[in-house]
Parts: sequence; structure tokens; C-alpha cells
Amino acid sequence: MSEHARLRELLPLYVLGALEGSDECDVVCAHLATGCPECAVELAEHARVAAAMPEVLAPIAPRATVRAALEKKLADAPKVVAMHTPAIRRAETRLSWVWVALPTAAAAAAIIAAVNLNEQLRWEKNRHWEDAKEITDLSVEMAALQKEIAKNDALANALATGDAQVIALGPAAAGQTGTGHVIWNKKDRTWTLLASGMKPLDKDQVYELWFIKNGADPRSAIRFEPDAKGVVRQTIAVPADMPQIDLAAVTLEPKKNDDPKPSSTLVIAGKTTG
Amino acid sequence: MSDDLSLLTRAAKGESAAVLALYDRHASALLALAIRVLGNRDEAEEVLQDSFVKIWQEAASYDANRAGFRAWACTIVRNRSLDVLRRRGTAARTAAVSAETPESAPSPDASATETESAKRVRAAIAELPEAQRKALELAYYEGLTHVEIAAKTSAPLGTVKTRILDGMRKLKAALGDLR
Repeated sequence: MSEHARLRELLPLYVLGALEGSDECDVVCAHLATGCPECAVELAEHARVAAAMPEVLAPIAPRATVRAALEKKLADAPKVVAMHTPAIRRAETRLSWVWVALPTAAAAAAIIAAVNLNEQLRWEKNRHWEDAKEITDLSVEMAALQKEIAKNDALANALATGDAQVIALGPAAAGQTGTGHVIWNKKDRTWTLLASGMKPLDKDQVYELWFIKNGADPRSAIRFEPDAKGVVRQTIAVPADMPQIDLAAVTLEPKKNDDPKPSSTLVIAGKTTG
Repeated sequence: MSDDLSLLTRAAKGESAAVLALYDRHASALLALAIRVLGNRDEAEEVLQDSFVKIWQEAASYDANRAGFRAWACTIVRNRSLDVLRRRGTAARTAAVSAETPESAPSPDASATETESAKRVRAAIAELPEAQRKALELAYYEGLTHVEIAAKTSAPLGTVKTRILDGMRKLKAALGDLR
């Protein structure tokens, strides 16, 4: 029997919570955390069957005071989202930016975030089916985080081995805010823009990144909006006909604008060095 | 039931009246489950209230593709009830029996009004060998692990696992299409 088949066999026990406290529970939980679609479906099926068991119980009407008490609790209770979601979002934000200045610290942060997520998954493991959906969601978020870590690793490696060139970006005019870097990964042939402190945009505005080679027209690389914290991360493929850039700049543009040239509102910019 | 879904959709938008409507439809069945787990009506009614607050707070995350509302609500009530049971400690947990524990055999009146799905579940559970049914009930209603069930029933651990696995497989085969 394959390892996967063995794990699938344990799902009925897992869904009932009967594996709690055992090594097998950890193994099943870890497997589910990989996002295995086959096991996720089977887990949901077993959970549905288990949840049908109380159908055979004779109903017992609650006392009238219970409904009144519930009504009061509903009036008093804040309507909130699941409590662990913000924690994960925080971890993602940390990973998406901090490592830029300090790849080593970022790697540590990535590990901490992954460990935090893993702990979260471990905490979830015995909540059975009610939380199986949440575990699946966490798995998806963890997979996304792992991809993010892999991207960060690739960039950190490129920086460490000299396969990457960094363009530092700073405010290009008085009153502008934001700093960042364009990391030109020559090995993967990608540009990655990482910026923070970007001002929020009006509804009809968008930021646009331009690459400029001396003596040539600026070329639009990507239009983007920062997240709520003013942080940006965008990766784009290097066009075959643009093997070298001398300057990178971010401008503020109207959303409805087909002009192939940048506007005069320069936000952040920087030159290639070295 | 599609009415449940529309009520839950309204609940997800913050309408507490929709939660109370869901309560009116399902509270009796869910209280029976909580009492079956806890063996104590006061605690069970407290769990019932907390469960409906949680249902309200998490209505937006409900996935109708995974299960019907009743199954989702049962899982919430069971987990809340087991949490209370665990806080009581192992000794109290295994001794939790009460005169108020609901019967799983229906009265003649009850069987007349029993839903089709309840009849199917009853029939499927009745088909299980006694040892398998007992192992499933200890896991589901008492929240016991396979190790604890082995100790309680004086059966080898491997036997307990097999009983649970076989019992769940049979129930899945009989009830897999239930929503």
C-alpha cells in the first residue's frame, strides 16, 4: 500500500477526531496541509457522513429563555471574521517586503512565518470537519506563501551569486514619497519591483513603471496599484529586445490613458549602478 | 434546504433575525446533539447559544458545496460540546450520562414525522455490527480517541481502528449522497 493510500485510509479516523494526540494525526494533518485535492474531497465526504449521525436523535425543544438569551448575545456580539486570518495576512506582508533590504533577516522571517503557519495548522488539526475547510484554506495560503518564499530564495540567490543587478529607487521630486528597488535577475530574465511607502491612489489614478535605456524612448513595464500599506511587489519578464536598462522610474498616470509616454508626475526613480 | 441557504445568506449580511429563523428551524435537533454529548441540559443550551453566535459570525465562510446547513451546524455544536466536555476532564467525560440524554430510538409518534434522511441514517446505523456502532458513537459523541476507545472497550487498538474504519466506510456507502 502506498503512503498516500495509507493516509487516505486514516481519514475517517481523523475526521472523527479519533487520531488526536497520535503521530498519525500529525502525518495526516501535514498531508492535508499540502492541499491534496483527492484527500480534501474524501475528508469532506467523511465529514458529511459523520455529521449525519445525530439525525437519529429525537429532537429536544430548548426552553424559551434560550432563544431570548441568544437574541441578546447576537445583539452584543461583534460580527467578526475567523480569528486566525489576520495573523496569516500579517505573515504574508512581512515576507513580501522585509527581505529586500536584508535577505538573511528575510529568510529568517520566512521560516518564522512558515513555522507560525504550521503551528496554526497544528492547532487546527483536531477541530475536525468544521475546521477542515479552514485547514484547506490555510493550506492554499501556505502554498502561496511557499511560492513566495521560493521566489524570494531565487532572488536572494541571484543577489548572492552576482546574477542580479539592483536599481535603488527614491523620491523623484519634492512632496513625493516611496522607496524601492528594481531587481534585475539576469539568470531568470525577470525584473522585480519592490517598493514601499507609496501614497494611496485616487480612483482614477494608477502607478506605472518605466524602463529607460539611454537614447531610447521610455518603455512601459507594468501598471500597478500598491496594497493598503503602500507596498508593491511586481515581477515581469525582461523583453528580449531590452537586455539593458539605465534608468527605472515610476510615474503617476490617469487610469484611462493610452499615451505611450510617461506623464510628468515622476514619483520614484533610480539609475542602474555598477 | 434552500430556505436555510437564503437565511444563511441574510445572516452573512449581518441580519440577526435570519439567525433566529435558523434557530427556530434547527434548535431542537441541535440541542439533542449537545445533550447527547454533554448529558446536561444547562450546558447544552449554553453551547447551543454559542454555536448560533458562531454560525452568525462565520456565515460568510459557509460553503454549500461541502454540506447542507444542518451538517455544518451539527459539526459546530459537536465541537463546542466536546470542548466543554474536555474542560470537565477525563473522568467526568467518560461518566457523562444523564436522564436527559436523548434516545436514538424514535417514539412511534416521532418515527411518523421523521425525515427521509433521518430514516436513512437510522437504517444505515442499524445495519452496523454492534461493535462498529459503539466505536463510532464513542468517537463521535464522546470525542474519544482510538486509544481511549480501546481502553474503554478493552479491545486491541488495531481492532478499534478497523471497527471505526469499517463502520465509516459502510455509512459512507449508504449515506454518501446525503447533503
